[in-house]
Amino acid sequence: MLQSLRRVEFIPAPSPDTPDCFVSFAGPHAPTLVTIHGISRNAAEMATRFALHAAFEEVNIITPLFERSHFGKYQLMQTRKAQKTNSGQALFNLLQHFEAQGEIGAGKVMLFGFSGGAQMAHRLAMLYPERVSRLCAASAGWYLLPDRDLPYPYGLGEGCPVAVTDGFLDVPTTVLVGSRDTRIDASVRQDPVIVQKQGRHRRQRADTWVRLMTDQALARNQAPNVKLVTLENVSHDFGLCVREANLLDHAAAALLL
Amino acid sequence: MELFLTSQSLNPNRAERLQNRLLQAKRAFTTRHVDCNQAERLVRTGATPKAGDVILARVTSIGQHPRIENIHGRRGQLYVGDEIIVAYGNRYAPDQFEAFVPTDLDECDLVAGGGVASRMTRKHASMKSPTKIEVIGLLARQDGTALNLADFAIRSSAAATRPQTVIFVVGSSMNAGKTTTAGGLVHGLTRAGFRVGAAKLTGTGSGGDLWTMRDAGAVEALDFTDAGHASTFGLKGEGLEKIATTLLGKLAAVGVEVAIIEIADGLLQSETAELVQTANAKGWHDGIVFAAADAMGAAFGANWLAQRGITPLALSGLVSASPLAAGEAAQSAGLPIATLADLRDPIAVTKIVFRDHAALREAA
Repeated sequence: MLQSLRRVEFIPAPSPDTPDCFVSFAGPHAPTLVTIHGISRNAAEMATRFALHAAFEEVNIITPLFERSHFGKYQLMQTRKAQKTNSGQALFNLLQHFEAQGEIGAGKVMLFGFSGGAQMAHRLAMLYPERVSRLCAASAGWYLLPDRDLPYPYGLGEGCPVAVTDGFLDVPTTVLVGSRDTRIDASVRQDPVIVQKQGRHRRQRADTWVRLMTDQALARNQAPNVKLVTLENVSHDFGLCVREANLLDHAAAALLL
Repeated sequence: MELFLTSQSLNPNRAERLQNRLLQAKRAFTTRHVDCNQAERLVRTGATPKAGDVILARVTSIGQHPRIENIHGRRGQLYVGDEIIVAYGNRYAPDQFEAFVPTDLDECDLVAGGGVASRMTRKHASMKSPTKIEVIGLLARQDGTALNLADFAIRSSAAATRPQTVIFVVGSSMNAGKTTTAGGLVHGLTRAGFRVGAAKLTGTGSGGDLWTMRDAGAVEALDFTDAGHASTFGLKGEGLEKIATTLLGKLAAVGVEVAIIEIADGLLQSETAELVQTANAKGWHDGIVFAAADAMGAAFGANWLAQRGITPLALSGLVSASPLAAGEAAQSAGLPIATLADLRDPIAVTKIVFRDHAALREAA
């Protein structure tokens, strides 16, 4: 008589070089969406909201939990200590584990990130486009610019962990940002190089990155694969963006064909 | 000074006199949903009271309960001679009283500060005698039918449903830390971004636990009094099931995403035992957190649950406050410990609530 909908489960890290995660599997033949949390680390909430949204009913949802103790600089895919596994590699290890378990199929995954999670998601798509089918980056604090003269993590120059191809221009990408996401607090980095190149707040930075990515594509005679969607009357809160600006509907439009 | 005219009649009839009298009375928490305007007379003799019947009574001596919780949750002082509006109900409280609804309208006892009239049969050695009340009469309609809490209960919807995630909190005994555990879960999950609600399915009517849940962040907090019962001691299968489905349905209807459901007393209490097994069989919850007073209680409770095919998500309660006792409990039960700090932490609590059941059973 009483109903129970799709369940989300917490899975402890299967090995030291993988993160804990929240998952809801739809089957090995279903597409897989990786959703990445911001610094509030609301992984359970994020996994649950995606799993219960009708558009993602037939989608495997995997939300890694990048805890501060192990993955303190997860947004940048960097580590505090040289011998540690970075968040990007840890995520690939996790996906490989679930492929081996038969929970998901092999191949590209869709990526969604919010805030710090959007930072990691778009960096992952730029560095490893062969692993990503589509990207939706919501409310990132700042961006990795398609500029090979800027050092990593600001650009693709010195220190970039991989030799980046132009493949990232082929990944269909949607950037979401709240129309009121203009507040500058301690969580919005104000490094001079970021402010100078991208602007002072998240909305300016989203505009800038989409414009630069568009310019890159046009310079290579490619049709731009990136677009900006502004969420009206919301600021920087995942729950509020879901409830008041239909964030998940926008994510579904961006990610699902 | 301005003078205001009221609508009171200069020559009030019996029903109006009763209404004026009820307005002056101290009205208890258990009766907060009752529409006292329906009361037109008092039945003073010849009736056999039932659980949930609402009465006007007079305090004749002050005992264990010197205060009464009003409909707004304030605990107001009682004085001999006060008139109070309370409801009949049984009570099962190992640390306080055992009491049953009397079969007559003679003097009885105030056995709970939330406003439960009953007749005490046994009490804990540390308890004073109960506060005594003289029954003035049953609040009744013109035709003599008594006003009963059930008349003002939440109605369960035809298509019963429940929130997406439901966690039950059960315990080894009264005062094992169940409400603190439930409050911790509510707070942690609210901080984790969920819309959390709470309900208490069994026990004796009192607002304290509901205020605890509200203070912790619950968007809605309900108990069996919302389902029309002053207490649940003595209720059997169908009645308990109706309370559970009604309250779960109401929480779902107001958009609660995660519900924390507390069941009173310990697993050896008959209604608690029945409800835990029914809930498990009918899929009312996604997991249980077991609150124990000590390591032995934790071990026994885990074993009792295991015999019925239930593996708790975690052990919590008073035992978790002592690292030594918690260690004993975890080792003997093979279950993880959740401290109050864990429950209130938005990341730690989600690891507990969304724990993989298959892995948990394997570990235990």
